[in-house]
Amino acid sequence: MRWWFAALALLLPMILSGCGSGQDAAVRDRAAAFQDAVATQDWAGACALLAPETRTELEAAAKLPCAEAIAEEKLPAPGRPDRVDVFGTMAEVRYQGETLFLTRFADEWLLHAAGCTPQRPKPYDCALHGG
Amino acid sequence: MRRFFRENSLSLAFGVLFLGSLAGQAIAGWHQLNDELFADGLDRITLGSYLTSSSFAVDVTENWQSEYLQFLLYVMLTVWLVQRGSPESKPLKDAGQESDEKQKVGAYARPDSPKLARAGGLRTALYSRSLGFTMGAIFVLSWLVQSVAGWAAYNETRMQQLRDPIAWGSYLLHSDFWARTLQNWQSEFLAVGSMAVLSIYLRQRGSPESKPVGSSHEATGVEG
Repeated sequence: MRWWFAALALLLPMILSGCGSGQDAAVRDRAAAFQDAVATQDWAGACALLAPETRTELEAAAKLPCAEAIAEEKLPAPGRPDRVDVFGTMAEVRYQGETLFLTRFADEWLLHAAGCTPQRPKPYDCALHGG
Repeated sequence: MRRFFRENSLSLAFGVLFLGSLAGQAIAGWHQLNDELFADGLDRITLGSYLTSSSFAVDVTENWQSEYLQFLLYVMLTVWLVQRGSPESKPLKDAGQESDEKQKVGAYARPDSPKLARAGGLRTALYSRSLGFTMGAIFVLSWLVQSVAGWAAYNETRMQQLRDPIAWGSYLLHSDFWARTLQNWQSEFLAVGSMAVLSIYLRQRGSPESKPVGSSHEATGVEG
């Protein structure tokens, strides 16, 4: 009986949180695409990767079109991700000095928040975010 | 066929009620979650995605574990603990595991007794406790799944709030886990305790969960 409990305890987190390698890879790829767009100043490309609410709030706060507003945010250009966590429809990618939050829209992952710095125990302070 | 339905009507009725309630919970929970996601500017999910989500799993299993704990405790505690005047209790003098003769095991088994009651040794000892073991196993598994699904659902909420996820071990000590657990336990214990006490004085004619209407309030372990 003991092996059965151990197997369940190991498998359930992966099954229930949807944190299989497929989701991790999709999140990692989407975060990398956003970071590449920021690094190359492809602002239209970066805007295309934002979740609708995040894009709306960014434009409303800056009173500028998305591509101009995101250019003014001076987002950092971090290196390789330290850690990827995926739970259901939300994901977090942590880098040195930067954290991204992503959310799943239909079949793709989009940026929920970027330019985030920790304020523990408070939520991250993010340069742009939705919700 | 009609005879089958009549002779199994109690379990069939509860089976239908369970499936109907679970389907209703799935639909209502799906709309509730989508309402919250919409309010947070996030994408709404399909019913299929909701049914495999940690949100649905934790909401289902937090109730399952508490129900099976309730019956586990009721099955186990009523071996030794009694309540004067309650049909839910054994007669006061019978507290304990009782004799082999009274339990019809081993040499005292009847022709229609289950084989495992007659076998003796470990097999009979295990069979004598099989209801408690099964209820206990379902309770433990449900609680384990609640802890994992609750952890995933809580971390999803934390990320929506732009907070780091926490480890499963930390979640086991977290207020979210214990609030979900204890809010269910308290209601189960209240329901069982009040049933044991109210059935001393109140009656439900024809129900085996009640004493016969004319039974004395002092009569213990008498079912109608």
